[in-house]
Amino acid sequence: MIGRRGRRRPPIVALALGAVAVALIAIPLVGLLQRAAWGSLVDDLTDPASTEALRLSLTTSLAATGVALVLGLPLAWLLARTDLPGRAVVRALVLLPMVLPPVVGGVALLSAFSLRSPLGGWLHDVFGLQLTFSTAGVVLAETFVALPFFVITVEAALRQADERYEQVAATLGARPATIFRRVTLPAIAPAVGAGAVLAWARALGEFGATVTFAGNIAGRTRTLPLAVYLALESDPDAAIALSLVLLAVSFVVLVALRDRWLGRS
Amino acid sequence: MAGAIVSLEARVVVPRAGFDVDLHLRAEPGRVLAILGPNGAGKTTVLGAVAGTVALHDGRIAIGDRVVDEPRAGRWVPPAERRVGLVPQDLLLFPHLTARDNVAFGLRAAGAGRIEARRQADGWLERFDVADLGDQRPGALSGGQAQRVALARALATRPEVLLLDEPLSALDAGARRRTRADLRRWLRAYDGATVLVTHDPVDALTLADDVAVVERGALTQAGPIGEVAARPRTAYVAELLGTNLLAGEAAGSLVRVGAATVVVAGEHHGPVFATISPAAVSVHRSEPEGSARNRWPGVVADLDLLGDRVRVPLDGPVPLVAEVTPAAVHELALTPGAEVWLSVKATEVRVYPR
Repeated sequence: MIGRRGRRRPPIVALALGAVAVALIAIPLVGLLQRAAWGSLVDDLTDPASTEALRLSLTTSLAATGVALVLGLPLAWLLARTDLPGRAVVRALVLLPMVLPPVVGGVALLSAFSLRSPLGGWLHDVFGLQLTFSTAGVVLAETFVALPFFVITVEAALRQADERYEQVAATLGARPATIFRRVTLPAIAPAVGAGAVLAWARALGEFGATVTFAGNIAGRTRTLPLAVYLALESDPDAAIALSLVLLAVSFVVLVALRDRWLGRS
Repeated sequence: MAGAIVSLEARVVVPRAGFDVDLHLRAEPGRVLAILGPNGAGKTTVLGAVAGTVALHDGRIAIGDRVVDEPRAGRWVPPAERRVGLVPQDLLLFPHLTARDNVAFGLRAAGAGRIEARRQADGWLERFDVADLGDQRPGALSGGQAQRVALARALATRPEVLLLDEPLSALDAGARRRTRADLRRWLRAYDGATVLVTHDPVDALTLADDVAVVERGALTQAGPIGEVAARPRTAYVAELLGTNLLAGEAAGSLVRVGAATVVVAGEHHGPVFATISPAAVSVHRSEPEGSARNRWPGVVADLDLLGDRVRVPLDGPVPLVAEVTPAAVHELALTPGAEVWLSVKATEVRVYPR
C-alpha cells in the first residue's frame, strides 16, 4: 500500500502503541498543569521556604556545571584524542553514574566521604571540609550524576571534529594549548554548550544522591526537588508550584537544544 | 619571502595499505618541485611526512641542515617547529575566523600582538589581491578567493618550505585557469623550496621547474620538467607528461614561439604556455596539404621506442616530439637526420596563461 509521497501508511498496531506511549508521558504533565493552583502560584513561589530552595538549587547546580566543565573538558579530550591505556575502562567508569540508580550513588558518596570514612575524616581534619549534610556535598552529588552527560557530549564532538584543522594550526607554529583554545574549542563550542546545559538540567533535578548523601536540611541541602518531595505532605499546592518551575526549566532546555535533538522536521 | 634559503631533502619511507611509500626527493630553494602521479600513489603522504603530520617509518627529512625526522637517529621535530607552510587540498581555512584572522593566526602563534598580526595579515591579503575580503569568513569566499587566503596564511609565517596539495583541484575550470596563472606568479616570487602535489600534468607543466613522477609509492622518473617531458623513460611517464610544452606570446589566435608562429583555436593574449600532445603531431615526407593550420619543416633528431609507439624528437623552427607507430616509422623511412614536414591542427593546441 503506497500512500502520499510514496510513504507506507503506518500499521494500526504501531499507531495505537505509539499513542499510548505519548499518553504515558503527556497525561501526568497535563495532570500537573490541571492541578496547579494558578491563583496562589506567585505566593507559593515567593514563600521563603520556596525561594530558599530555588536559590540553593540554582547555586549548587551552576557550581556543579562549572566543576563538570573544568574537569570534564580535559577528560573528554583525553578520551577522544589520546591513546592512553585503559581509556575504555575509564570511559565506562565515567559513564557509570548515568545508569547507576542515584540513591546508590548517594550511598557510595556517603561511604567514601562521611566523617567516619578515611577520606572524609582526612578532608575534615586537614581542610575543615565536611561534605556530608553540607552545601558542598550537594554540589559533589550533583557533579557525580551530571559529569557523564557533559563528558559524553563533548567527547563525541571531539571525535567528529576534523583533526586536520589542528594539524594545519600546528604547521602555522601554534603550540598545543593555543591550538586547543583557538581551533579545537571553537569547533566544539556548540557541543560544550549543549553538554553544559544537559549537565545543568541533570544537576538541577538531582534528588536521590543528594538526599542520601547530603540530607535534607533547609537552606543548606534542601534543593528544589527535595523541597517538592517534602511539601507534598504539608502543602501540595506549593509542591505543584515548585514542580511547575522544574517543568518550565526542562521545557526551556529542550527548546534550547532543539536543533541538536529534535532536528528541523 | 622565505625564512632562510635552504633546500629540502627527503627520503620518505612510510608503510601504507597495499604498498609502501619509499622515495627520495630533493627540492631546491626558488624552484617548484611537482610530485606528479595518479590518485592514491602516496603523494599526500609525502607532504604529510615533510609537514610532520605523518611520522616516517624510515628515512630522513632535512630542511637545510635541520634534520626534522630521522627515526634511526631518534630525531623528531614537531610540525610547529619545522617552518613548513602547508596548503592542504581542501585548504582547511579556520571556519570561525575571518580571512584576516586566518592569515594572522600563524603570526599570532609566533608571538605578534593582535593588532600587529592583523596589520601584517592585511598586507598579505593585499599581496594576493584579496585585501577587500579581510572581514569575510571562509564560508563566504569563492574557491579562488579561499585559495589565495590559504596561500597567504601559509606564507605569512615565512616558511622555509612551502607544500601545496592539489592546489587547483577544488576549483572549477574557469577559476582554475585564472588561478593557475596567478599561482605561477606567486610561486615565482617565493624564494624558498616549493613542493606541489598534483595528478594533473598541466599543473606540473605550467607551475613546476622540476618534476618527480610517483607511482604506487615509488619514484618513476625525476628531473627538470622540460627534460622529463622531452625524454620520458617509461610509457607511463610518456602517457602522463610526455607532451610538448611551448612558451610564447599570444595575440588573438596566434602564439609567437621564438621565430615561429603557432595558430591556435580561440582568442588569447599575453604570455602563455601552449601544449601539443605528441600524438597530435603528424609527420610527412613532403609539405602536406589539408586543413592543418600549422606546418613546419623539421629534422628527425632521434627515435625512442616506448611500448607500442615511437617517440620522434624533431628539430626545426618549432621543436616538437611526435608520436607515431612503428609501421609509420618504416613507411616514412624515419631515421635520425631525415628531413620531414610536421603538421598540427590548431584545435590540437591547448593554451594556458603563464
